[in-house]
Amino acid sequence: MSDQKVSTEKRWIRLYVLLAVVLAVIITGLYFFTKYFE
Amino acid sequence: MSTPDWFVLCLTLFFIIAYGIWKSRGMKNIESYLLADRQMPWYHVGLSVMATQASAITFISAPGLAYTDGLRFIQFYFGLPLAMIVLCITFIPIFQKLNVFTAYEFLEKRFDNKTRSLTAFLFLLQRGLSTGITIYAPSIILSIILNIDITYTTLLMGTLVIIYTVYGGARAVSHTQLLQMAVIFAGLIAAACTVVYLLPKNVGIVDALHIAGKMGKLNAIDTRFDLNNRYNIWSGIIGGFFLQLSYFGTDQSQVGRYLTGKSIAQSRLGLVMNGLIKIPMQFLILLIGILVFSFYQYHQAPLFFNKLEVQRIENSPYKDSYRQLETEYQSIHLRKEKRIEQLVEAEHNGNSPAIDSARIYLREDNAATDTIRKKAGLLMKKNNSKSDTNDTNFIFLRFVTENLPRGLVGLLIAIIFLASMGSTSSGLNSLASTTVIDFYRRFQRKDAAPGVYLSASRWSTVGWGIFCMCVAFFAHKLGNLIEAVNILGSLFYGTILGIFLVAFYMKKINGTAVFYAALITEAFIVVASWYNLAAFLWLNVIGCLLLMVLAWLLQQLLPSGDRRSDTKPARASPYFNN
Repeated sequence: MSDQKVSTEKRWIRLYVLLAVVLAVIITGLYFFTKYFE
Repeated sequence: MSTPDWFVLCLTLFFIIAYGIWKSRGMKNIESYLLADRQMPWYHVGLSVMATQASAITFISAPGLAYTDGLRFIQFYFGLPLAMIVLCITFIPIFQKLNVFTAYEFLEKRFDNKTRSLTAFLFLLQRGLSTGITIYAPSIILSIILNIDITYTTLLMGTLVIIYTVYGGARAVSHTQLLQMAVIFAGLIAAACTVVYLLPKNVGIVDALHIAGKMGKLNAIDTRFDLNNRYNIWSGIIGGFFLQLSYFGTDQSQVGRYLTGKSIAQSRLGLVMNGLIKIPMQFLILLIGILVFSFYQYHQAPLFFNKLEVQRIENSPYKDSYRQLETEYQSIHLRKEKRIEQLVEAEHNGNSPAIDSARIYLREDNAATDTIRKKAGLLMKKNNSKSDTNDTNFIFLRFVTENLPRGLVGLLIAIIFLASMGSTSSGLNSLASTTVIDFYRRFQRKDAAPGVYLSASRWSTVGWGIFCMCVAFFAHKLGNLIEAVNILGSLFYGTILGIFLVAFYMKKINGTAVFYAALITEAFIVVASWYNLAAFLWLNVIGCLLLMVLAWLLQQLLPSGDRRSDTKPARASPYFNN
């Protein structure tokens, strides 16, 4: 039961990391978008 | 609007509202009315959260803001995904486990009654004013379409939303928002494609972006740190994080949406979905404004987009001065058009020196047109000091009604109405929840029958609806609406967030310390905003941190009797054992 809880928590942490990575990709993408068209 | 547009508009509105009302039949208690029986799946939660934030203002003001100010507003949303992570880890488990109706109930459990009531009062004040602004936005559209005074259209829009929300409650809000978001996404994509289609034959979307970019409109990222600059990457990530954390974590209009989730996991997934989709969606909306800007480089744009104000100045002694400005504006447009043709050709040939020279001249021309627009505004003010000289809220509407094909105009207007209904109904629902749960049930009728609270919730919705309509009558004084709503929120969100963060993370601080810290912080933030001490996004950070520091200091300074007087230490509370 405890292992199952740890594994669920790990899955959530992975999801949060994914969200942070998506944000970093979006900001980087927008930076190059701005530079390319200015 | 043409007959097909009216047909599409009425059919879309009727179908979605009827669906929401049908889905919300058979309510008997406030759990159903305020929280949809806590039975919503994650995609309902996610779309409802998004629809609540995306009001009509988003679709009217954001493209106009992009037209005048470029893409820099997108940075405002950078803190949102990070805020979603903190909410999923901290706020959702606590609210869900405590089975609360409103976020402020938690504050009484953690601190005391006065802190709960103060926070709920600050929320009611802020949300009541903001919801008034969201009612005003679609009234502008109706006033343009029907060519009648905004006062009457505000009354009409407000009454419609009140009836629908009073009957349907949270379940109607959630079900209609699901369909609303589907129609909104479809309509936005159709609008973006149509703007590109309306550009001249030899100009594609990349050319349109080059034109806007060379004129300084694709300023999506600004890395310079400046406290007085409204939008840069730092104010977006840090200030935006605090604002979004406060908005989603402590504003009942949002807390009420994810409390409808079936479980902690469903509420969390809904917020993660919001974190993933929000920035791309907002980017698309702003990009439409940019494409409209490029469109008007090939077609003569009106000097001023608000037709009613133009009519007023044309019937005044200043009409000749206004016409002279129009002539100047047209001559600059013709000059600009030639330069843009040269720029597109240079882009196609890869001629860098020609591109550089076009960039310089185009920016000069753009500055000149901005100056003329400002002069037109001053002329209007001179003619009538009550004139609305900010026309950014009218830019996209004017474009839609004058340039888009039949049917699509009706669909886009329907989107704006639906968005308004979604966020206004959420707002009214949350105002009613807070009034009934945090004041009426707490102070007036502690153990009444469920029907009493249901009836009180409905009457409270009506009362707040009337208050919001009164606010809407004055909303024209606030300039660009999307900024006005966020500036207004920033006056209160820092303080409210600070109270919640103290509750979660500073477990030795009690209610009296946090209550007085909140009063001092709120007074400071109002003064700071009045004297423009920092750009509005920073007010959230300053307010939150100031409250936390003050609460800690007061806790040390208060007599020991006050320190222990009214608060159970959070450590001993069951909601922190998770």
